[in-house]
Amino acid sequence: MIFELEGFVANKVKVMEGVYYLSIESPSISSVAYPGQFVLIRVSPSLDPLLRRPFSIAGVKDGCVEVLFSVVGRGTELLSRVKIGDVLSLRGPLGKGFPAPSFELLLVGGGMGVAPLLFAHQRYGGKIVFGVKDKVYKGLCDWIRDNVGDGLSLFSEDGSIGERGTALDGALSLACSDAEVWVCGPDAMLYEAFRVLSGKVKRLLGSFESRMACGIGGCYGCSIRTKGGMKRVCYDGPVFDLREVF
Amino acid sequence: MDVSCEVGGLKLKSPLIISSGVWPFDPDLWRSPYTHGVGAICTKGLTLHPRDGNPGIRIWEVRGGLLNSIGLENPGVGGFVREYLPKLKDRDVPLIVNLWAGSLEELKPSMEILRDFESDIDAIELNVSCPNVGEKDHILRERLSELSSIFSCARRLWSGPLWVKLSPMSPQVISEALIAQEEGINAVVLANTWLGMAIDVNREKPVFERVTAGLSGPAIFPLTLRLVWEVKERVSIDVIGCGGISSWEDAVSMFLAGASAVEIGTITFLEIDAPAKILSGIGSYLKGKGYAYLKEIIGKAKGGRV
Ligand SMILES: Cc1cc2nc3c(=O)[nH]c(=O)nc-3n(C[C@H](O)[C@H](O)[C@H](O)COP(=O)(O)OP(=O)(O)OC[C@H]3O[C@@H](n4cnc5c(N)ncnc54)[C@H](O)[C@@H]3O)c2cc1C
Ligand SMILES: Cc1cc2nc3c(=O)[nH]c(=O)nc-3n(C[C@H](O)[C@H](O)[C@H](O)COP(=O)(O)O)c2cc1C
Ligand code: FES
Repeated sequence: MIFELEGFVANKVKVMEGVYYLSIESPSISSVAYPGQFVLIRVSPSLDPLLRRPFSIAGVKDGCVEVLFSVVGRGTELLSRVKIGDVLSLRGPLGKGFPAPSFELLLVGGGMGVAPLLFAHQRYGGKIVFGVKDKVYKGLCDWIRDNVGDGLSLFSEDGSIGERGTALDGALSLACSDAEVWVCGPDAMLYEAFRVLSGKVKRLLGSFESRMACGIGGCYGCSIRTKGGMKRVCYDGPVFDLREVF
Repeated sequence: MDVSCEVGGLKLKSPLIISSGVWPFDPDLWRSPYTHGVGAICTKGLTLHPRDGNPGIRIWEVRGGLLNSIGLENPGVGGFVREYLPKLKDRDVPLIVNLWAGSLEELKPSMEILRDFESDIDAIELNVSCPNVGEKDHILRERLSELSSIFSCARRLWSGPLWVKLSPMSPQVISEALIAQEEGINAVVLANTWLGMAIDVNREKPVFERVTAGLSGPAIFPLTLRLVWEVKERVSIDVIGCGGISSWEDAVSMFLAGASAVEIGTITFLEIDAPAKILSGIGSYLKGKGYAYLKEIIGKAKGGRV
């Protein structure tokens, strides 16, 4: 069941400059959502902007859907201005998320890709490896540490936070042949994960991003090419087996 | 308040049709509550053979509109009747097959496949207007005679309701609509997307691999309204307004200009319940003005029912 409903903003936190956490009341969506799924949020009550914006569900709590987002353009700028108590319209839960894990779980995130992994960790536990560029992201790393607690390994490219290296360096050191790895981050990171991890682990899944209009599989705006033909990120994904895509 | 309508050989509970290319084949979404206020749904444009669609960016938002370059990704007519049509049997709304009719060679076998499923299909909308797939340049007169053969072939092969969806980019839309009428088409849909483009200033390149793309959404509404007005002046078959309708005022304007029904697409991306909202606005408008039937306002801005 897909819902399109309004809910008030129950909590908002400025995690760091340009990164926000929102908790939006939506009992219908939060009760059926599972990790890897996403919502389309209407960022303005007017017809401008015309499209909703997709965001991974970063967790569910007390009948609320949580999202973690960074400001990159007009839509996310508008969203960053909402206040606690404002009303937002959510369409979701959308897409096919992660299937329940069958093996030891290793969650690997780069940048904002960490959002769906927080929900995965909330539901299934496992280890999280999170990588950032440098100490500009300290606020985000601190916030994630507060939310995840044990089982978090931090990496930064310049070594200023956690260990030196990328999230994938961390993943390589932790991955074993009995593990299942879920990766979220930019396309280049997903490809690199495929390259370095595909032969080493039991299962390797990644969450993809694409421009979206409908979010429900109708417009074919978000399609990507896979070995099994064209697939819609919003409907067949956003989670795909990396070995199926690359 | 009676908001039902008769259009192009169909009786619909609501004059609001979901236009082609926005609604998924997912059978759940062809049933209430998602179809509240919806009169009928057009399928994604189907081609004889399956198509992967265009590479590169396919969707780009602009002020007041949306550019798309999907390139008709679809499972093909055969794939549709095998995989999807059976699952849509339990739907709550009529199904209109949007069929790509780019050439006679492609149209004939497609229609022959669909003919075997005539009882499961409520109407066919011939799409002779997608801006995002290769099209030969035509001398205008040749184009008219080609359309005439396409329409008459389709008419021969399909006895049910048959509509054509024209391109707003043609300099001879009225002539094309008149040919549709001559060939026994039941309704003309005006229109498809308008050709536009966008440049990505960061990459300093056109956004779309094909450079041009189809513009839909609120920005095109006045352009489409004008087309409906002009064409309805010349044809006696039903005209269906399609392009940029986002509010009940837009829909009512289309009816007043002579449209018997309207199709809505892009607005559903923003509001999945747009049909319900627009229909309720139309109902309140009719009531406020003291009309009992929607059909009383069709063509009213032209001084009476057309
Ligand atoms: C399934 C999915 C989950 C996502 N989850 C998150 C998340 O949890 N946190 C987060 O910060 N971001 C997430 N994103 C990316 C986020 O949707 C974009 O950053 C956002 O849409 C940009 O909107 P804008 O108006 O600020 O940018 P603009 O550049 O002004 O956007 C213009 C248009 O491009 C689209 N667009 C731009 N970038 C992207 C992108 N990367 N992916 C999809 N559409 C894009 C927008 O939706 C809009 O239609 C996700 C994207 C997808 C597809
Ligand atoms: C993403 C997208 C895909 C479309 N695909 C088709 C199609 O396959 N066949 C077709 O006839 N029209 C297609 N259209 C055009 C719409 O059906 C409609 O004519 C157009 O968008 C104008 O209406 P609107 O402004 O209400 O969206 C598509 C439009 C969009 C936005
Ligand atoms: S966003 Fe429309 S099909 Fe994926």
